[in-house]
Formats: sequence, structure tokens, C-alpha cells
Amino acid sequence: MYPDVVIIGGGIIGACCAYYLSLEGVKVYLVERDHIASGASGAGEGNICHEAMMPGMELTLTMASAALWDQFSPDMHRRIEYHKADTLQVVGCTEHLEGLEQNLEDHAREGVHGTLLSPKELFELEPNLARDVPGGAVFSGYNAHMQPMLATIALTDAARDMGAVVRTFTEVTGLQLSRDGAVEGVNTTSGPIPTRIVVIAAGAWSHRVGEMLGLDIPIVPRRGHMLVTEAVEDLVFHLVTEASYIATVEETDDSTKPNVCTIVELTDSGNLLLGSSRDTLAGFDPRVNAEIISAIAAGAVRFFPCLREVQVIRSYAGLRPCSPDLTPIIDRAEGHGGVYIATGHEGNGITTGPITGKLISEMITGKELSLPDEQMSKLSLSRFQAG
Amino acid sequence: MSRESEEGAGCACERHEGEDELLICRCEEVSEAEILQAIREGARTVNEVKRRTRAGMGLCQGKTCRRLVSQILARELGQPIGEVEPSTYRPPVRPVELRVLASLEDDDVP
Repeated sequence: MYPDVVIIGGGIIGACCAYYLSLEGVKVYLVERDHIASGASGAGEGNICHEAMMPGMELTLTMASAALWDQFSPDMHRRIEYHKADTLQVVGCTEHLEGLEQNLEDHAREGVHGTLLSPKELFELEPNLARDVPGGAVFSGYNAHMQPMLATIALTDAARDMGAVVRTFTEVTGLQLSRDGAVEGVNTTSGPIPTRIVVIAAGAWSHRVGEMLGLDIPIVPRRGHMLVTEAVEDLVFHLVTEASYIATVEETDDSTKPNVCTIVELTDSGNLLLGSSRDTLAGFDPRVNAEIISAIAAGAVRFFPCLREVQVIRSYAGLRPCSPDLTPIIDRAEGHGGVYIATGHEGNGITTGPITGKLISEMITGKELSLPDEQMSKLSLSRFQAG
Repeated sequence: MSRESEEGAGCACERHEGEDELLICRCEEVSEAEILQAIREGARTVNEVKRRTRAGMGLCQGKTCRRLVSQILARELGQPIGEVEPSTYRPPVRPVELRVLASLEDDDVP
């Protein structure tokens, strides 16, 4: 009883691959070296926020994936605390208003329409916003939030219910290859697993897994910080992001200064999630940095002065898989028979997990792909290979 | 290693008297029954129980319940308590007001 496919990684991407493959009747075996959602999937916000996505591939994947999240059953939605929600994008100073308008224009061109708001309209929607916030925009009908750990767990549970084996605390130690480089099995700390197909969904650690078969998967860990506050009532009503978010994501951090951009999000439990930061300064070290924590706190208080006395109960950082062009790799590896790659989603794993799992499932089962070829080429591994 | 789990292979976890009323995590109001359900679903460590139930995610960050959860895991899995993996501690150790964190930068904290 060998599995058809071994998925390496129990984050949201591995979970989505397991789910969509299981739906097709494929026999899946998922291995995770820690517990489910122990990496970046357990250290994020869990929101789908179209206006924060870069127009182009990122937004295309987001739109396709948001539709898939919407299609899950009411039962699944309840379990993962999934809700559709209006969101606000705000700016901290008048100089940034132009950037906000540009962002609205760029997104409208791709079919995501936000509405520019006067300060007065903005305060009606979000009465505790700082009075000197010069403007913002509302996006209605596009976005959603969920509890990302529960989402990852629920999808692996669902795959398991369809027959998948989910093996936690099991680390991959090597891959068995035939003479022509095709996969024949996966060696793990719990023993070997014979299989002809492997999906590398190991997030920030995907490069290390690729090395086991001589495959260069250009992924580096990009750290992201989050703060969690005590549960509060009636202080914040929307997911509020600072309009500089896209610029922050796009900024490559060759400098020593981490990018910080304010995000304030209310969760089902009443706790606020505060973000966000991006840096590659600490390599694989996931510990939090006091300066970055402080900058996130300052940003939250700047937009919501009412939060000054709210208690922060927890902080953490996640290592997100970052590709050179900030776009994921969803591809079959050339010259390595049976190797598929699904990684590089950076901070968008929850958002674009379902479309990723669906595409991987379509590739493996030989079905027609949900995205046209010219889009798939932008997700290929070969785009990074010189030649 | 006993924590290696084939999820769903599952611990049968018998029902315990009063498990629905017995609160393990007071901050998040998580009952013993919910902890047992998480173990039935495949949780083997305090971190996994936390992620499935929110036990330990509240204001006190599990100062009391993390030990209770360890004890329940040890009991249900038939392991010595020392073998149950403890949960991750996250800063801050005590709740801190946002304004205090926000002003760290001004004091040039490294």
C-alpha cells in the first residue's frame, strides 16, 4: 500500500495539496517534521486582502483562491472561523494619498474596486481611528479572514478523512532516486516511504529539501512579526491596513532596516492581531526583535490611539518562504521525475493556498489547469534558472 | 519517540466524569472535554492542543493550564509527564500595554 504522493510539509500549502489531491482520489501521505501549522502558517493573520496584493500574478492567484475559500462548506467555514469582511486601507499622511489613489486605480484595472473615502466617511466606519488620518478607502465584498492555524488543521483533517495519512514529528532525511533522477522514495525519521511523486511544500525550508536531490529552489526565510492583544470590545471594526503595505512587500530588504507597515485586525476571539514586518536579517532564527515589536506597536497606536492602554499578551515571528521575485513557485521540476514544488508564497500562504493545492492536484492528475499556460510560466521554477 | 503520530490513528480517550464542566483554561474557557476531543483528533503535545482549542492563548498565556494540559496528555497517552513536550513560551512574559512597547524605540532599546 504505497502512497501515490508524499507531501513534504504540514503548513497551509501542504494541507491544501493534500486536500485537493485527496478529493481526486489520490492516495496521499503527508510528512511534517513538527506539528501541523508549526511554521509560517501558525504565525500569520489569516486574512484575504485583495488591496494588499500586488497587481499581476499575486492578485490573479488571490482572486482565484478567494473564490475557492468561499466554496468550502458552511461547516468548514465555521470551524476555521471564516468570515467575509469589508476592509479599510488608510494612509498616515497626505503625501501617501496619491499612492492610495494609484493603488485603487491599479486594482480597479484588474477588477477589484475600492471606494475612496473622505476622513468623515472613514470615521463613520471606524470611529476610533486617529483624527488626523487624512483618508482611506473601503473594499466591500472581496475580502475575508479566518483563523490560519485552524484552517491548516481543518484541511489536513479533511484530507485524512478522505484517506490521507498525516504523519507529524517526522522529518525527511533524504530522497531515494533512480539512476535517471526520478523519485523512488522518501527517507524519514520514521522510516522510508516508497513513492513515485513528491510535493515539496516545506515553506522557508524548501531550499534544504531541494538540496537533497540536487535541485536549487531559490527560497529564503523572510521573517514576519505579529503582536496579539488581550480581547477587546468595540475599539476596531475592520481589518485596517496601511496603504504603504504593497510598497513594503515589494521593497527588497538589502538594507539593514526592516520594513514595518501597520495592520490591525479583529479576530473572532476579540483579540487584535497587529502587524506587520518583513525582514531577512535573522536568517532561520524565528525569535522576535524588540525594535520591530516596538515599531509595530507604535504604528498601531498611531492609527488607533484608543489602543494605547490595551495589553499585548503575545508576540511571535514566522519564517515565510520568499522567492527572488516574491511570487510562488508552483511547478513540476524539470529533470527530476516526480518532483513537484509548491512554495515561495511569502506572507500569502493562507490566501493563495487553495489555488496552489488545486493546481498541484491538476498537474499530478493530468487535468486541465485552472490557470492558462502564460500564467503558469510565471510560477515556474525555470524562470529563475539562467540560460 | 512517542510524539510521532499518525494523526487520527488516535487516542481513544475515555470519557471522564464532569469533563464538560471542568474548566482547564479559565481565560479561554476551555473544558477538559474539549482537551480530550483535541487528543482524540490527534494532538500529542501542548502546542497542538493549544492550536486546536485555544487553551493557553488567553490573557495569562497558559500560566496555569499548560501544566494541566501536560498532565491530561500524559494521562491519556500513558506517558510520563516529563515526556510530554512543553508548549512554546512567547514574549512578553506578562501583558504589556501597547504604549509601553511603542515607546521602546524612544529609549533606544537594542
